[in-house]
Amino acid sequence: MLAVSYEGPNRVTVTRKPDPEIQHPYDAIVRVTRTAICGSDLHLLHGLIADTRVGCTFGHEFCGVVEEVGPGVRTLAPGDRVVVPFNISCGVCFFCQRGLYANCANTNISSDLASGVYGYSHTTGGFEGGQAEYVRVPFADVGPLKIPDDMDDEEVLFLSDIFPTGYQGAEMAGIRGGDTVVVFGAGPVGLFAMTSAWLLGAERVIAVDHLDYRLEFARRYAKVETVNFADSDDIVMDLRDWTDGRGPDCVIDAVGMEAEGSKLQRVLGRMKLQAGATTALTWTIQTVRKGGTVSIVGVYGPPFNLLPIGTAMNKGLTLRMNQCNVRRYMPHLLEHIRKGHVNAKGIITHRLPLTEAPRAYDLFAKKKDDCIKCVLVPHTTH
Amino acid sequence: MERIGPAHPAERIPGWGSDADVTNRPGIPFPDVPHQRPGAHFDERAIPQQVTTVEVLRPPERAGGPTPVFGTANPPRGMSGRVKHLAYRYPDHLTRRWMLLLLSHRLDVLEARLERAVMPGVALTVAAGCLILLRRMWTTA
Repeated sequence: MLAVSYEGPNRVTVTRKPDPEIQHPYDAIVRVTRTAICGSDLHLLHGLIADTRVGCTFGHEFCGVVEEVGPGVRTLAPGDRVVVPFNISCGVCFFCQRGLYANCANTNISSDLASGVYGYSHTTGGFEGGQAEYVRVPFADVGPLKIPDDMDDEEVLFLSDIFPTGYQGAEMAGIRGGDTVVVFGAGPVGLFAMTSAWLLGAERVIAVDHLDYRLEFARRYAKVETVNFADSDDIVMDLRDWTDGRGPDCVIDAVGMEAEGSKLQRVLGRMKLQAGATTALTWTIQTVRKGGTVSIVGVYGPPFNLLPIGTAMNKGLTLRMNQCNVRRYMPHLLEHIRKGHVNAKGIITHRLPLTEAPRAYDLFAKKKDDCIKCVLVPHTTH
Repeated sequence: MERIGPAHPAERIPGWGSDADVTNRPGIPFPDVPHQRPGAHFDERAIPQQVTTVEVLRPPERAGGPTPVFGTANPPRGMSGRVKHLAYRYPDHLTRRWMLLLLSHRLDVLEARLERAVMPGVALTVAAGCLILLRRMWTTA
Protein backbone atom coordinates (compact mmCIF):
# COMPACT_ATOMS: atom_id res chain seq x y z
CA MET A 1 0.00 0.00 0.00
CA LEU A 2 0.96 3.65 -0.26
CA ALA A 3 1.65 5.47 2.99
CA VAL A 4 3.20 8.69 4.23
CA SER A 5 6.65 8.08 5.66
CA TYR A 6 8.56 10.37 8.04
CA GLU A 7 12.13 10.90 6.85
CA GLY A 8 13.39 13.32 9.49
CA PRO A 9 12.56 16.90 10.52
CA ASN A 10 10.57 18.78 7.86
CA ARG A 11 10.58 15.86 5.43
CA VAL A 12 7.92 13.30 4.59
CA THR A 13 7.61 11.13 1.52
CA VAL A 14 4.99 8.75 0.18
CA THR A 15 6.27 5.23 -0.04
CA ARG A 16 5.17 1.62 -0.48
CA LYS A 17 4.71 -0.35 2.73
CA PRO A 18 3.30 -3.80 3.48
CA ASP A 19 -0.47 -3.84 4.01
CA PRO A 20 -1.43 -3.94 7.69
CA GLU A 21 -2.55 -7.28 9.14
CA ILE A 22 -4.85 -8.38 11.93
CA GLN A 23 -2.52 -8.77 14.91
CA HIS A 24 -5.10 -9.24 17.66
CA PRO A 25 -8.60 -10.79 17.76
CA TYR A 26 -10.17 -7.36 18.43
CA ASP A 27 -8.46 -5.67 15.45
CA ALA A 28 -10.00 -4.44 12.22
CA ILE A 29 -8.37 -3.28 9.01
CA VAL A 30 -9.86 -0.11 7.57
CA ARG A 31 -9.47 1.12 4.00
CA VAL A 32 -8.94 4.83 4.43
CA THR A 33 -11.17 7.09 2.34
CA ARG A 34 -10.31 10.45 3.89
CA THR A 35 -7.47 11.44 6.20
CA ALA A 36 -6.44 14.87 7.43
CA ILE A 37 -3.24 16.54 8.54
CA CYS A 38 -3.59 17.78 12.09
CA GLY A 39 -1.75 20.72 13.63
CA SER A 40 -0.20 18.27 16.06
CA ASP A 41 1.23 16.30 13.10
CA LEU A 42 3.39 19.37 12.56
CA HIS A 43 4.98 18.82 15.99
CA LEU A 44 6.00 15.38 14.70
CA LEU A 45 7.13 16.80 11.39
CA HIS A 46 9.32 19.33 13.17
CA GLY A 47 10.93 16.63 15.30
CA LEU A 48 9.47 17.92 18.57
CA ILE A 49 7.79 14.74 19.81
CA ALA A 50 10.10 12.24 21.48
CA ASP A 51 10.68 8.86 19.83
CA THR A 52 9.31 9.74 16.42
CA ARG A 53 11.07 7.15 14.29
CA VAL A 54 12.23 7.50 10.71
CA GLY A 55 9.92 5.49 8.46
CA CYS A 56 6.79 5.81 10.61
CA THR A 57 3.44 6.85 9.15
CA PHE A 58 1.59 9.80 10.66
CA GLY A 59 -2.17 10.34 10.70
CA HIS A 60 -4.69 10.18 13.50
CA GLU A 61 -7.65 11.81 11.75
CA PHE A 62 -9.23 9.39 9.30
CA CYS A 63 -12.36 7.59 8.25
CA GLY A 64 -12.93 4.73 5.88
CA VAL A 65 -14.48 1.37 5.17
CA VAL A 66 -13.91 -1.79 7.20
CA GLU A 67 -12.07 -4.34 5.04
CA GLU A 68 -11.46 -7.14 7.52
CA VAL A 69 -12.20 -7.87 11.17
CA GLY A 70 -10.54 -10.11 13.74
CA PRO A 71 -12.39 -13.12 15.17
CA GLY A 72 -13.30 -11.26 18.39
CA VAL A 73 -14.99 -8.26 16.73
CA ARG A 74 -18.78 -8.28 17.12
CA THR A 75 -20.17 -4.89 16.15
CA LEU A 76 -18.35 -4.20 12.87
CA ALA A 77 -18.34 -6.08 9.59
CA PRO A 78 -16.56 -5.62 6.28
CA GLY A 79 -18.23 -2.85 4.32
CA ASP A 80 -19.15 -0.71 7.34
CA ARG A 81 -18.21 2.95 6.99
CA VAL A 82 -16.51 4.22 10.13
CA VAL A 83 -14.86 7.30 11.58
CA VAL A 84 -12.13 6.42 14.04
CA PRO A 85 -11.14 8.40 17.17
CA PHE A 86 -7.46 9.24 17.44
CA ASN A 87 -7.23 7.57 20.87
CA ILE A 88 -6.86 3.80 20.90
CA SER A 89 -8.86 2.70 23.94
CA CYS A 90 -9.87 -0.64 25.45
CA GLY A 91 -13.17 0.56 26.95
CA VAL A 92 -12.79 -1.53 30.10
CA CYS A 93 -9.78 -0.32 32.11
CA PHE A 94 -10.00 1.97 35.17
CA PHE A 95 -9.72 5.08 32.97
CA CYS A 96 -11.97 4.04 30.08
CA GLN A 97 -14.73 3.08 32.51
CA ARG A 98 -14.63 6.70 33.71
CA GLY A 99 -14.81 8.05 30.17
CA LEU A 100 -11.13 8.98 30.16
CA TYR A 101 -10.43 7.24 26.87
CA ALA A 102 -7.38 9.43 26.31
CA ASN A 103 -5.77 7.89 29.38
CA CYS A 104 -6.44 4.20 28.58
CA ALA A 105 -4.06 1.90 30.44
CA ASN A 106 -4.08 -0.95 27.92
CA THR A 107 -2.92 0.52 24.63
CA ASN A 108 0.35 2.37 25.14
CA ILE A 109 3.21 0.00 25.75
CA SER A 110 5.87 2.71 25.51
CA SER A 111 4.78 5.19 28.14
CA ASP A 112 2.32 5.81 30.94
CA LEU A 113 1.58 9.35 29.74
CA ALA A 114 -1.44 8.76 27.53
CA SER A 115 -3.37 6.13 25.60
CA GLY A 116 -2.15 4.73 22.33
CA VAL A 117 -2.63 7.09 19.40
CA TYR A 118 -2.53 6.34 15.67
CA GLY A 119 0.59 7.59 13.97
CA TYR A 120 1.85 9.70 16.83
CA SER A 121 5.34 8.40 17.62
CA HIS A 122 6.39 5.63 19.95
CA THR A 123 5.64 7.91 22.89
CA THR A 124 2.01 6.96 22.25
CA GLY A 125 2.49 3.30 21.49
CA GLY A 126 4.21 3.03 18.11
CA PHE A 127 1.05 2.47 16.07
CA GLU A 128 1.03 3.20 12.35
CA GLY A 129 -1.17 6.11 11.32
CA GLY A 130 -4.00 6.69 8.91
CA GLN A 131 -2.18 8.73 6.26
CA ALA A 132 -2.09 5.55 4.25
CA GLU A 133 -4.35 3.44 2.09
CA TYR A 134 -5.05 0.99 4.92
CA VAL A 135 -4.67 1.07 8.70
CA ARG A 136 -4.89 -1.39 11.55
CA VAL A 137 -7.56 -0.40 14.13
CA PRO A 138 -7.21 -2.15 17.53
CA PHE A 139 -10.23 -2.57 19.84
CA ALA A 140 -12.48 -2.09 16.82
CA ASP A 141 -15.69 -2.57 18.83
CA VAL A 142 -14.82 0.31 21.17
CA GLY A 143 -13.42 3.21 19.15
CA PRO A 144 -14.89 3.49 15.66
CA LEU A 145 -18.29 5.11 15.10
CA LYS A 146 -20.41 3.89 12.20
CA ILE A 147 -21.13 6.69 9.74
CA PRO A 148 -24.87 7.12 9.12
CA ASP A 149 -25.90 6.48 5.51
CA ASP A 150 -27.20 10.01 5.10
CA MET A 151 -23.84 11.60 5.91
CA ASP A 152 -20.74 11.83 3.74
CA ASP A 153 -17.20 11.13 4.90
CA GLU A 154 -16.09 14.74 5.06
CA GLU A 155 -19.06 15.75 7.23
CA VAL A 156 -17.90 13.38 9.97
CA LEU A 157 -14.14 13.19 9.38
CA PHE A 158 -13.35 15.74 12.07
CA LEU A 159 -15.21 13.75 14.72
CA SER A 160 -11.95 11.77 14.80
CA ASP A 161 -10.15 14.57 16.64
CA ILE A 162 -10.43 18.31 16.12
CA PHE A 163 -14.17 18.87 16.65
CA PRO A 164 -14.28 16.83 19.90
CA THR A 165 -10.96 18.39 20.96
CA GLY A 166 -12.30 21.90 20.42
CA TYR A 167 -15.55 21.01 22.15
CA GLN A 168 -13.78 19.44 25.13
CA GLY A 169 -11.63 22.56 25.32
CA ALA A 170 -14.74 24.70 25.59
CA GLU A 171 -16.39 22.28 28.00
CA MET A 172 -13.35 22.13 30.29
CA ALA A 173 -13.35 25.94 30.33
CA GLY A 174 -16.58 25.66 32.32
CA ILE A 175 -18.46 28.13 30.11
CA ARG A 176 -21.72 29.41 31.61
CA GLY A 177 -24.37 31.60 30.02
CA GLY A 178 -23.11 35.15 29.59
CA ASP A 179 -19.41 34.31 29.80
CA THR A 180 -16.73 35.95 27.70
CA VAL A 181 -14.36 33.41 26.19
CA VAL A 182 -10.98 34.05 24.58
CA VAL A 183 -9.51 31.40 22.30
CA PHE A 184 -5.79 31.58 21.55
CA GLY A 185 -5.18 30.06 18.13
CA ALA A 186 -7.45 30.35 15.09
CA GLY A 187 -6.37 27.06 13.54
CA PRO A 188 -8.76 24.12 13.08
CA VAL A 189 -8.98 23.18 16.79
CA GLY A 190 -9.38 26.82 17.77
CA LEU A 191 -12.21 27.24 15.24
CA PHE A 192 -14.06 24.28 16.72
CA ALA A 193 -13.43 25.58 20.25
CA MET A 194 -15.04 28.86 19.18
CA THR A 195 -18.11 27.24 17.62
CA SER A 196 -18.39 24.98 20.68
CA ALA A 197 -18.22 27.99 23.01
CA TRP A 198 -21.35 29.31 21.29
CA LEU A 199 -23.10 25.93 21.72
CA LEU A 200 -22.31 26.12 25.45
CA GLY A 201 -23.88 29.58 25.71
CA ALA A 202 -20.96 32.04 25.64
CA GLU A 203 -22.00 35.65 25.16
CA ARG A 204 -18.73 36.87 23.64
CA VAL A 205 -16.04 34.85 21.90
CA ILE A 206 -12.74 36.47 20.93
CA ALA A 207 -10.12 34.77 18.74
CA VAL A 208 -6.42 35.66 19.02
CA ASP A 209 -3.84 34.78 16.37
CA HIS A 210 -1.09 36.47 14.37
CA LEU A 211 -2.22 35.42 10.90
CA ASP A 212 -4.73 37.79 9.32
CA TYR A 213 -6.14 35.21 6.94
CA ARG A 214 -6.93 32.87 9.83
CA LEU A 215 -8.60 35.66 11.79
CA GLU A 216 -10.63 36.59 8.73
CA PHE A 217 -11.66 32.94 8.39
CA ALA A 218 -12.62 32.84 12.09
CA ARG A 219 -14.81 35.93 11.69
CA ARG A 220 -16.59 34.36 8.75
CA TYR A 221 -16.77 30.74 9.93
CA ALA A 222 -17.20 31.05 13.70
CA LYS A 223 -18.67 34.58 13.81
CA VAL A 224 -16.31 35.70 16.54
CA GLU A 225 -14.48 38.91 17.38
CA THR A 226 -10.81 38.79 16.46
CA VAL A 227 -7.53 40.37 17.41
CA ASN A 228 -4.09 40.05 15.84
CA PHE A 229 -1.52 39.99 18.64
CA ALA A 230 1.17 41.10 16.19
CA ASP A 231 -0.65 44.45 15.98
CA SER A 232 -0.81 44.83 19.76
CA ASP A 233 1.90 46.27 22.00
CA ASP A 234 0.62 44.21 24.92
CA ILE A 235 -2.00 41.61 24.12
CA VAL A 236 -2.64 40.80 27.78
CA MET A 237 -3.47 44.40 28.67
CA ASP A 238 -5.55 44.85 25.53
CA LEU A 239 -7.65 41.76 26.21
CA ARG A 240 -8.24 42.89 29.77
CA ASP A 241 -9.27 46.35 28.56
CA TRP A 242 -11.75 44.83 26.11
CA THR A 243 -13.33 42.69 28.82
CA ASP A 244 -14.38 45.28 31.42
CA GLY A 245 -10.84 45.55 32.79
CA ARG A 246 -11.15 42.20 34.58
CA GLY A 247 -10.16 39.83 31.82
CA PRO A 248 -12.24 37.10 30.18
CA ASP A 249 -14.02 34.46 32.27
CA CYS A 250 -12.53 31.54 30.35
CA VAL A 251 -9.50 31.22 28.12
CA ILE A 252 -8.68 28.30 25.85
CA ASP A 253 -5.18 27.47 24.64
CA ALA A 254 -5.55 25.94 21.18
CA VAL A 255 -1.97 26.64 20.16
CA GLY A 256 0.46 24.37 21.97
CA MET A 257 4.21 24.12 21.83
CA GLU A 258 4.95 25.96 18.58
CA ALA A 259 3.55 29.32 19.62
CA GLU A 260 4.73 32.57 18.08
CA GLY A 261 4.93 35.85 19.97
CA SER A 262 8.04 35.57 22.11
CA LYS A 263 11.57 35.31 20.79
CA LEU A 264 12.84 34.23 24.21
CA GLN A 265 10.37 31.34 24.36
CA ARG A 266 11.23 30.23 20.83
CA VAL A 267 14.97 30.30 21.55
CA LEU A 268 14.55 28.34 24.78
CA GLY A 269 12.43 25.82 22.91
CA ARG A 270 14.90 25.45 20.06
CA MET A 271 17.75 24.99 22.54
CA LYS A 272 15.69 22.23 24.20
CA LEU A 273 15.81 24.06 27.51
CA GLN A 274 12.07 23.50 27.52
CA ALA A 275 9.68 21.47 25.38
CA GLY A 276 8.74 24.08 22.77
CA ALA A 277 7.39 27.56 23.46
CA THR A 278 4.74 28.27 26.09
CA THR A 279 3.91 31.77 24.91
CA ALA A 280 0.21 31.15 24.35
CA LEU A 281 -0.19 29.27 27.60
CA THR A 282 1.56 32.04 29.50
CA TRP A 283 -0.81 34.58 27.96
CA THR A 284 -3.86 32.50 28.91
CA ILE A 285 -2.81 32.57 32.56
CA GLN A 286 -2.00 36.27 32.47
CA THR A 287 -5.18 37.23 30.60
CA VAL A 288 -7.96 35.31 32.32
CA ARG A 289 -9.77 37.08 35.15
CA LYS A 290 -9.07 36.15 38.76
CA GLY A 291 -10.96 33.00 39.68
CA GLY A 292 -11.35 32.18 35.97
CA THR A 293 -10.60 28.99 34.09
CA VAL A 294 -7.82 28.12 31.67
CA SER A 295 -8.45 25.16 29.41
CA ILE A 296 -5.51 23.60 27.58
CA VAL A 297 -5.96 21.51 24.46
CA GLY A 298 -2.78 22.66 22.70
CA VAL A 299 -0.18 19.91 22.76
CA TYR A 300 2.92 20.24 24.95
CA GLY A 301 5.70 17.70 25.06
CA PRO A 302 7.62 16.30 27.99
CA PRO A 303 9.70 16.74 30.02
CA PHE A 304 9.05 20.32 31.22
CA ASN A 305 7.96 23.84 30.31
CA LEU A 306 8.43 27.30 31.78
CA LEU A 307 5.11 28.58 33.14
CA PRO A 308 3.98 31.45 35.40
CA ILE A 309 2.48 29.06 37.92
CA GLY A 310 2.77 31.67 40.71
CA THR A 311 0.46 33.96 38.73
CA ALA A 312 -2.02 31.13 38.34
CA MET A 313 -1.89 30.37 42.05
CA ASN A 314 -2.30 33.97 43.15
CA LYS A 315 -5.20 34.56 40.74
CA GLY A 316 -7.01 31.49 42.05
CA LEU A 317 -7.30 29.96 38.60
CA THR A 318 -8.70 26.63 37.61
CA LEU A 319 -6.49 24.87 35.08
CA ARG A 320 -8.14 22.09 33.07
CA MET A 321 -6.46 19.96 30.44
CA ASN A 322 -6.29 16.58 28.78
CA GLN A 323 -5.95 14.96 25.44
CA CYS A 324 -9.49 14.65 24.16
CA ASN A 325 -11.60 11.65 25.18
CA VAL A 326 -12.90 11.57 21.62
CA ARG A 327 -15.26 8.60 21.77
CA ARG A 328 -17.26 10.22 24.56
CA TYR A 329 -18.17 13.17 22.34
CA MET A 330 -18.72 11.58 18.94
CA PRO A 331 -22.45 10.73 19.05
CA HIS A 332 -23.35 14.09 20.62
CA LEU A 333 -21.36 16.14 18.12
CA LEU A 334 -22.61 14.05 15.20
CA GLU A 335 -26.07 15.36 16.07
CA HIS A 336 -24.83 18.97 16.07
CA ILE A 337 -23.50 18.41 12.55
CA ARG A 338 -26.71 16.74 11.44
CA LYS A 339 -28.82 19.60 12.83
CA GLY A 340 -26.72 22.15 10.97
CA HIS A 341 -25.35 23.79 14.10
CA VAL A 342 -21.80 23.14 12.94
CA ASN A 343 -20.57 22.89 9.35
CA ALA A 344 -17.61 20.68 10.17
CA LYS A 345 -16.37 20.20 6.61
CA GLY A 346 -16.54 23.95 6.06
CA ILE A 347 -13.01 24.31 7.40
CA ILE A 348 -11.48 22.22 4.59
CA THR A 349 -9.52 24.49 2.29
CA HIS A 350 -7.38 21.92 0.46
CA ARG A 351 -7.99 18.40 -0.83
CA LEU A 352 -5.07 16.49 -2.32
CA PRO A 353 -4.39 12.88 -3.26
CA LEU A 354 -2.36 10.94 -0.70
CA THR A 355 0.51 10.89 -3.19
CA GLU A 356 0.80 14.65 -2.76
CA ALA A 357 1.16 14.48 1.02
CA PRO A 358 4.57 16.23 1.01
CA ARG A 359 3.00 19.23 -0.76
CA ALA A 360 0.06 19.17 1.64
CA TYR A 361 2.43 19.23 4.63
CA ASP A 362 4.32 22.12 3.05
CA LEU A 363 1.08 24.09 2.49
CA PHE A 364 -0.16 23.48 6.01
CA ALA A 365 3.13 23.91 7.87
CA LYS A 366 4.10 27.11 6.08
CA LYS A 367 0.53 28.49 6.06
CA LYS A 368 0.67 28.90 2.29
CA ASP A 369 -2.30 29.61 0.06
CA ASP A 370 -4.44 30.62 3.08
CA CYS A 371 -4.45 27.00 4.21
CA ILE A 372 -6.72 26.13 7.14
CA LYS A 373 -7.15 22.37 6.78
CA CYS A 374 -5.70 19.81 4.35
CA VAL A 375 -7.51 16.58 3.60
CA LEU A 376 -5.72 13.73 1.84
CA VAL A 377 -7.61 11.35 -0.42
CA PRO A 378 -6.05 7.88 -0.77
CA HIS A 379 -6.78 5.54 -3.68
CA THR A 380 -6.79 8.39 -6.20
CA THR A 381 -4.26 10.25 -8.27
CA HIS A 382 -6.08 13.52 -8.83
CA MET B 1 -9.79 44.43 17.13
CA GLU B 2 -12.66 43.38 14.89
CA ARG B 3 -15.92 43.49 16.83
CA ILE B 4 -19.26 41.94 15.95
CA GLY B 5 -22.48 43.93 15.76
CA PRO B 6 -24.80 44.40 18.72
CA ALA B 7 -27.09 41.44 17.94
CA HIS B 8 -27.19 38.84 20.73
CA PRO B 9 -25.42 35.63 19.68
CA ALA B 10 -28.71 33.73 19.93
CA GLU B 11 -29.92 35.73 16.92
CA ARG B 12 -26.93 35.02 14.68
CA ILE B 13 -25.42 31.66 15.79
CA PRO B 14 -27.20 28.42 14.82
CA GLY B 15 -27.61 26.19 17.89
CA TRP B 16 -26.42 28.90 20.29
CA GLY B 17 -26.81 27.73 23.89
CA SER B 18 -28.12 24.28 22.97
CA ASP B 19 -25.61 22.74 25.42
CA ALA B 20 -25.89 25.51 28.02
CA ASP B 21 -27.42 23.05 30.45
CA VAL B 22 -24.41 21.28 32.00
CA THR B 23 -26.37 18.02 32.19
CA ASN B 24 -26.42 18.10 28.38
CA ARG B 25 -22.63 18.12 28.08
CA PRO B 26 -21.14 14.74 27.15
CA GLY B 27 -17.90 15.23 29.09
CA ILE B 28 -19.51 16.04 32.43
CA PRO B 29 -18.86 14.69 35.01
CA PHE B 30 -15.17 14.44 34.32
CA PRO B 31 -14.25 11.75 35.22
CA ASP B 32 -17.54 9.97 34.65
CA VAL B 33 -19.30 7.49 36.92
CA PRO B 34 -17.52 4.19 36.13
CA HIS B 35 -19.34 1.95 33.69
CA GLN B 36 -18.61 -0.42 30.85
CA ARG B 37 -18.37 1.54 27.61
CA PRO B 38 -20.43 0.78 24.49
CA GLY B 39 -18.92 -1.97 22.38
CA ALA B 40 -16.67 -3.26 25.16
CA HIS B 41 -18.11 -6.77 25.36
CA PHE B 42 -15.16 -8.31 27.21
CA ASP B 43 -13.64 -8.36 30.66
CA GLU B 44 -10.33 -6.54 31.14
CA ARG B 45 -8.65 -9.63 32.61
CA ALA B 46 -9.78 -11.72 29.63
CA ILE B 47 -8.37 -9.52 26.84
CA PRO B 48 -6.16 -11.75 24.68
CA GLN B 49 -2.49 -10.83 24.53
CA GLN B 50 -1.07 -9.65 21.19
CA VAL B 51 2.06 -11.54 20.22
CA THR B 52 4.76 -10.40 17.85
CA THR B 53 8.19 -11.33 16.60
CA VAL B 54 9.16 -7.66 16.30
CA GLU B 55 11.20 -6.11 19.09
CA VAL B 56 9.05 -3.70 21.09
CA LEU B 57 10.70 -1.71 23.89
CA ARG B 58 9.01 -1.44 27.28
CA PRO B 59 9.82 1.09 30.01
CA PRO B 60 9.86 0.22 33.74
CA GLU B 61 6.19 1.26 33.98
CA ARG B 62 5.39 -1.82 31.89
CA ALA B 63 7.69 -4.18 33.80
CA GLY B 64 4.63 -6.27 34.74
CA GLY B 65 4.08 -7.22 31.10
CA PRO B 66 3.17 -5.74 27.73
CA THR B 67 -0.14 -4.01 27.15
CA PRO B 68 -2.68 -6.33 25.47
CA VAL B 69 -2.24 -4.45 22.18
CA PHE B 70 0.66 -2.41 20.94
CA GLY B 71 2.18 -0.95 17.80
CA THR B 72 4.87 -2.83 15.93
CA ALA B 73 6.04 -0.07 13.60
CA ASN B 74 9.73 0.71 13.15
CA PRO B 75 11.51 -1.53 15.64
CA PRO B 76 14.75 -0.09 17.10
CA ARG B 77 17.81 -0.54 14.90
CA GLY B 78 21.40 0.62 14.56
CA MET B 79 23.09 3.04 16.90
CA SER B 80 19.85 4.93 17.50
CA GLY B 81 18.25 1.66 18.60
CA ARG B 82 21.01 1.12 21.15
CA VAL B 83 20.37 4.55 22.61
CA LYS B 84 16.64 3.79 22.71
CA HIS B 85 17.36 0.63 24.69
CA LEU B 86 19.17 2.79 27.20
CA ALA B 87 16.35 5.40 27.27
CA TYR B 88 13.71 2.77 27.93
CA ARG B 89 15.50 1.74 31.09
CA TYR B 90 14.14 4.87 32.70
CA PRO B 91 10.51 5.73 33.55
CA ASP B 92 8.89 8.67 31.82
CA HIS B 93 9.08 11.02 34.82
CA LEU B 94 12.87 11.18 34.51
CA THR B 95 14.37 13.80 32.21
CA ARG B 96 17.24 11.52 31.18
CA ARG B 97 14.77 9.28 29.37
CA TRP B 98 13.56 12.13 27.15
CA MET B 99 17.05 13.46 26.53
CA LEU B 100 18.21 10.00 25.43
CA LEU B 101 15.18 9.69 23.15
CA LEU B 102 16.00 13.08 21.68
CA LEU B 103 19.55 11.89 21.01
CA SER B 104 18.30 8.64 19.49
CA HIS B 105 15.98 10.60 17.16
CA ARG B 106 18.87 12.68 15.84
CA LEU B 107 20.95 9.51 15.35
CA ASP B 108 18.03 7.81 13.63
CA VAL B 109 17.76 10.70 11.15
CA LEU B 110 21.51 10.68 10.57
CA GLU B 111 21.58 6.92 10.01
CA ALA B 112 18.68 7.13 7.55
CA ARG B 113 20.39 9.95 5.61
CA LEU B 114 23.66 8.03 5.47
CA GLU B 115 21.80 4.96 4.29
CA ARG B 116 20.10 6.96 1.56
CA ALA B 117 23.40 8.46 0.50
CA VAL B 118 25.50 5.30 0.70
CA MET B 119 23.08 2.62 -0.51
CA PRO B 120 22.97 3.71 -4.18
CA GLY B 121 26.78 3.63 -4.19
CA VAL B 122 26.86 0.16 -2.62
CA ALA B 123 24.26 -1.11 -5.10
CA LEU B 124 26.25 0.32 -7.99
CA THR B 125 29.50 -1.27 -6.74
CA VAL B 126 27.81 -4.68 -6.28
CA ALA B 127 26.24 -4.46 -9.76
CA ALA B 128 29.56 -3.49 -11.34
CA GLY B 129 31.31 -6.32 -9.49
CA CYS B 130 28.73 -8.82 -10.72
CA LEU B 131 29.14 -7.59 -14.29
CA ILE B 132 32.92 -7.91 -14.12
CA LEU B 133 32.61 -11.41 -12.64
CA LEU B 134 30.15 -12.48 -15.33
CA ARG B 135 32.39 -11.10 -18.06
CA ARG B 136 35.41 -12.99 -16.70
CA MET B 137 33.39 -16.20 -16.46
CA TRP B 138 32.23 -15.67 -20.05
CA THR B 139 35.73 -15.04 -21.39
CA THR B 140 37.32 -17.95 -19.47
CA ALA B 141 34.56 -20.27 -20.67
